[in-house]
Amino acid sequence: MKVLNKKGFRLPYMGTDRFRELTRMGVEYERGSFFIRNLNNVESIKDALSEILSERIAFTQTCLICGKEFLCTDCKYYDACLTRDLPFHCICKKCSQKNDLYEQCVERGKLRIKHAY
Amino acid sequence: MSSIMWVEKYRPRTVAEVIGNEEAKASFIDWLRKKSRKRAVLLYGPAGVGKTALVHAAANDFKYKVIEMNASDTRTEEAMMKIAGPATSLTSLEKFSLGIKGSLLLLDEVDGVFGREDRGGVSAIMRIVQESRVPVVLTANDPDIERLRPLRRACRLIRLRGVRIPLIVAFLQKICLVENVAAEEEALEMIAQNSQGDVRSAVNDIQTLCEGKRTLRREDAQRIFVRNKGFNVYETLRGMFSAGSAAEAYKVLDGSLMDYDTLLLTIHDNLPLRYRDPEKLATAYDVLSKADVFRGRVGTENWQLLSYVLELLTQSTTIAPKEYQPFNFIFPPTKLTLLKWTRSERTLLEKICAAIGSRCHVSRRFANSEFIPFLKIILGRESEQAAQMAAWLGLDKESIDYLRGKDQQIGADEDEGIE
Repeated sequence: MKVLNKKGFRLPYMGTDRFRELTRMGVEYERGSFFIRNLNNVESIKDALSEILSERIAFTQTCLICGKEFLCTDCKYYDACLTRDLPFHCICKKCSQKNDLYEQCVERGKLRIKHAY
Repeated sequence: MSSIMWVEKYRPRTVAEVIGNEEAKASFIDWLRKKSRKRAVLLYGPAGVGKTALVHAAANDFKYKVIEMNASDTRTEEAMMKIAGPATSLTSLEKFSLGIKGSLLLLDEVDGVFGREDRGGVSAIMRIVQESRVPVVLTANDPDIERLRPLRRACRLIRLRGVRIPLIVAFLQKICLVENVAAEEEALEMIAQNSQGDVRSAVNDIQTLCEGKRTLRREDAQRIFVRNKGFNVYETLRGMFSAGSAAEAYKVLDGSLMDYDTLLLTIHDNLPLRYRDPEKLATAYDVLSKADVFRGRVGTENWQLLSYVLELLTQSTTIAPKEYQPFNFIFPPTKLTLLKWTRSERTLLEKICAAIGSRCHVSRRFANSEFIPFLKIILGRESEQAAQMAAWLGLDKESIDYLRGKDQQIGADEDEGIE
């Protein structure tokens, strides 16, 4: 399985048609790296990237508490999860054992919003 | 019984309190602050993931007054313009007295605007979206339905997905702590898994289970019914084509929201993308053709044969389960698209066959197979005899042009309509 970072990843030469198709789906190219601009259609993007790389792919997750990157395969809910391997935020295995998880998520969320705006 | 529903009691007051969907939240706030390009935004996703909660929380954070119209209101063009019209154009006095930024118009569950009660509703929404001077937020579960297509073009689309299990568990833990309920972690996990990303249903479940209790055990959580939300088109296709066995594919099919005829046509279109090996592709098509035969036998009354259709459909997608490579699915089925494109041509042909049928006392089908090919040749010569024949049959100019082969215009017009 190939692990991709949603913030930027490299791809082999894929030809004009495939490149155009990816762009239409919401993938952008800048300075040698690709990144996902539109997350509405991310399942299709994931399939298209798998096809290009001829390998199953997974996106790294960012922990909402500690901010570290991790993989869905580490999660105990992996089989039950409906959005696994998609490039979203979640709680890593280590942080999920902490107390007051919700409060910590809210605090981090407030900080993220404050930093962004 | 608690006097207040927990979903209301624990409704998020700020954007940070809305759990999950971080990217969607960021995108929505970005739009609300900059109101870049598009005036309206369409938040879509399954029920209970926080679409409406996000709008209210963001309005609270950024000092907007929410004017809401939801599914329980009558949403005819008149009713909508009556409420939304002034809200979208007038500057409220409250802007100065209460220090708010302005109004935010929320049209909840726009995919539910239909029927006689809501006549003209979608066109009214379009007008509001185009003319509004205040931010307009629409929410929907399924934005792909045909009547919402114009809205998709006019709005910025933001998708919300089911909330992940660890986040729901964290939220339920917090509720239990506040409500002074000692809950086993396994019980909370079961509720969260059962909710399938729907926070509202998870909160309702936990309230039901904790009613009059101070403890929540695993055995209690087992009492709740498993929710079967149903798979959408993409989930069905992905699940069936990537299934490890026919039984696994059957499970997906069993929970699918797609109708079987559309599914059969969709599988037909996608098989060449699924199987690269011609032999396996041939086997898959063979199995699918049998499914089609059985579907014909089911008709409208022999539903006991449907299980054979489903069995064969699942088999066709799992001929070589280990060789699955993800691919982009073709949907809607090309046959349906083609039928849509040629609708006006078929209507015209039907009209010509009806005219021939009534004049020559033959059925339309017979007219189509035995008269039309010769008429095309005769009328193609543009002789006096041809004109007489057309007049005798009572064919109009459009029909004559079609039979003469000047039908390209019809196809072009239709294409424009679809675009």
